[in-house]
Amino acid sequence: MSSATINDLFHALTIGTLSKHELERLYAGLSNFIDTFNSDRSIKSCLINDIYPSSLKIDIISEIVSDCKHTRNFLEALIEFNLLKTFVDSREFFLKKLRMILGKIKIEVTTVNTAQIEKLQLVRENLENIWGENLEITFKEDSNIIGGLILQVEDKFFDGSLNGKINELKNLNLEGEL
Amino acid sequence: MANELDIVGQIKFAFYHLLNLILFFGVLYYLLKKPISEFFSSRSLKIKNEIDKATEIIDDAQKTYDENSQKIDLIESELTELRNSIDSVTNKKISKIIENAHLMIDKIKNDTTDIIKLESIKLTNDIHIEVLNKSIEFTRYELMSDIDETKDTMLISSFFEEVKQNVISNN
Repeated sequence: MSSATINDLFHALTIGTLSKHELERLYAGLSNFIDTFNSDRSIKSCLINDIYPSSLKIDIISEIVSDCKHTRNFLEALIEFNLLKTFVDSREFFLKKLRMILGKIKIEVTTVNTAQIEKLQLVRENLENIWGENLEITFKEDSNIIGGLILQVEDKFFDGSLNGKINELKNLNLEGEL
Repeated sequence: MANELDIVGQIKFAFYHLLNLILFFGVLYYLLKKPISEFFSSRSLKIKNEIDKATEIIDDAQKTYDENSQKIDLIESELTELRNSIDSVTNKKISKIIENAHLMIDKIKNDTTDIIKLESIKLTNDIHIEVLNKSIEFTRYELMSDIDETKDTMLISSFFEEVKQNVISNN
């Protein structure tokens, strides 16, 4: 019931009324809000807790997304309808929906070392070569992968790491044993 | 003469006394015959009754004895029968128990063989897995020391080729 209402609000916000630039800003604003929400525990507890007044929540949201009017209005509407918690719980779904509208693809790249700028540039070029230029790329460092890359492209997972190859071989061997 | 008179007198005297005695006995006989006869008759009857009763008791006792003897014989035969039956049941039970024990032994033997086989397979698998883990660990260590910038770049380029092919084939 609540999710449907968020859907309605989201639908009203995204279909027809906003330009692509405004939608880009809305996406950036919501992403920024989600990042802040995830990183700051005091903000998180304040926003999802019913004991705090709506006015305080609206003030906090205004501070986080001061540069995007549409994001602010959308989040304020969610607070007004007491749907912020539901939205936060299903945030990835709505962000993905927005990305689909914008034709944007979210890619998370895991490498051994994120300090190697040239290599990151090479990766970025290759990704753009495959999925186009409208990408949201984030790099993550994990030395356990030994070498190569791991890609999380929206819902798809590509493991090109040496650790992944080793695990693959290990699993093949284990299947052979059993 | 006087002596003769005296003897006659004495005989006479004796005769009278004898007569008295006979009369006395006659009177006694007349008077006592009936009560004594009745007394002995009743006594005889009483003794006869007692003998009859005793005979009856003896007969009853004999009868009871016979009955008890019969019962004892019956009990003895039943006991013998029961003993035979118990022996038969016991023998059957013993043979059944022995048969079950043999079956159990066979089952335990088969189970033990199976367990040993499974444990052997498990141990072999464990050893293989352990060897595999060590090999993986060693490979990981070797790769970590062997990988350099060029190889990593080559690996990444090759991986992107694979991903590209995958995306194209999916599209």
